[in-house]
Amino acid sequence: MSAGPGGVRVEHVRNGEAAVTDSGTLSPQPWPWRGRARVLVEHADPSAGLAFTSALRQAGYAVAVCPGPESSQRCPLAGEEGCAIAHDADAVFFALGFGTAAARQVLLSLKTSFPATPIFVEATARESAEWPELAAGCAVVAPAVAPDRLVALVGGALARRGRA
Amino acid sequence: MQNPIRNEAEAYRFLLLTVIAFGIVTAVALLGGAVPGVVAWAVASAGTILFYLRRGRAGRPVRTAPPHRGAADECRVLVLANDALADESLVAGRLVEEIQRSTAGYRARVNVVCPLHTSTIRHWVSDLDGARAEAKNRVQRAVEVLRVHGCETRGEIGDEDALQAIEDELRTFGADEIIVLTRHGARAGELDPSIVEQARTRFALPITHLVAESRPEPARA
Repeated sequence: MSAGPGGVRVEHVRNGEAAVTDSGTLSPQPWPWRGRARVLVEHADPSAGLAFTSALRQAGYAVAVCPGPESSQRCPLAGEEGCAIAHDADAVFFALGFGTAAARQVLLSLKTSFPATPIFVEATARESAEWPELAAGCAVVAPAVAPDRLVALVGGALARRGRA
Repeated sequence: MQNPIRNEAEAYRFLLLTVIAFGIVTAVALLGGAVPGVVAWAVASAGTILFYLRRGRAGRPVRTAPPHRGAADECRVLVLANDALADESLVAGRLVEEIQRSTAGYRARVNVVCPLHTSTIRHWVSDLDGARAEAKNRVQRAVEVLRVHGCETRGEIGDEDALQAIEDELRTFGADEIIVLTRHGARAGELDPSIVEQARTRFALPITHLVAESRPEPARA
């Protein structure tokens, strides 16, 4: 398979199988900010998303905030088109909760599509126990994590990967 | 409105599909006559519109923000404004207050950007130099006012597309806050207040909207 015009051929894992994606076909549009580590924040609350964004930006990261799919929508990550933002993120903070099937599908898609990307999941002990397969492989943080604490966690994970 | 064609690859695919669709429409028209040709065109057009409408509902917008630029004690503010800069009381009053509020505890650095708006007539008669000179004057006056109030400020003319102007500035200046100045009852050619919601949908940064209520008296000869 060759990349289309403007696209980049990228190998990753989707639903447990190796797959190749032409990043030019992904949506939403790719990150406009290049050259620095990028953190995707999955948070439905815009003001909380801005607070995490501010702390992460101050630490030198480019940030994307995704509110997750609404009940009537589906996440492009779970569909054929994929998500360029998630694709190119160096770390993900997932705070959509485990309460809806759509949110759980987002986390599952993130885990299966990008197994090498560090994912920090905000979940209670009860949620982790109820959905062990979702929490497995992720760094679970207790709800209401402080932005500075998240910055430290992301920094540690990326430093171990040489992406800090 | 968001462009349904999001990148070069999609534009290429759209062109290819258009060529194929028109090939089919032409073949149907040649073989079956005008009416089947029109029907084929209608079906192809409806299919394309439905495809893009359905895809447009697939997800909510993802907002992005570049990394902080400059020293840790620095807060950068991008001021996007066009005709509203002519309202010096707004610039010296509420704009200065808003900058001081948003940069409290930090060293403020401000960049005033004026998207170069031109009227259709000016565009057709290529009077871009006149529009640029007027915009430059407004920016320069605003920069001087902000400097008087102690803000380290520079100014420039930005892209005609205000959203693009913001994105350009975020790449080069890397603002921590954005303040948009528009006029109450903006006229054609002035900065449209809808830019605020568009920017909030696209950028994960605090965005403040200040509205100039007054309109300066036209200069008398």
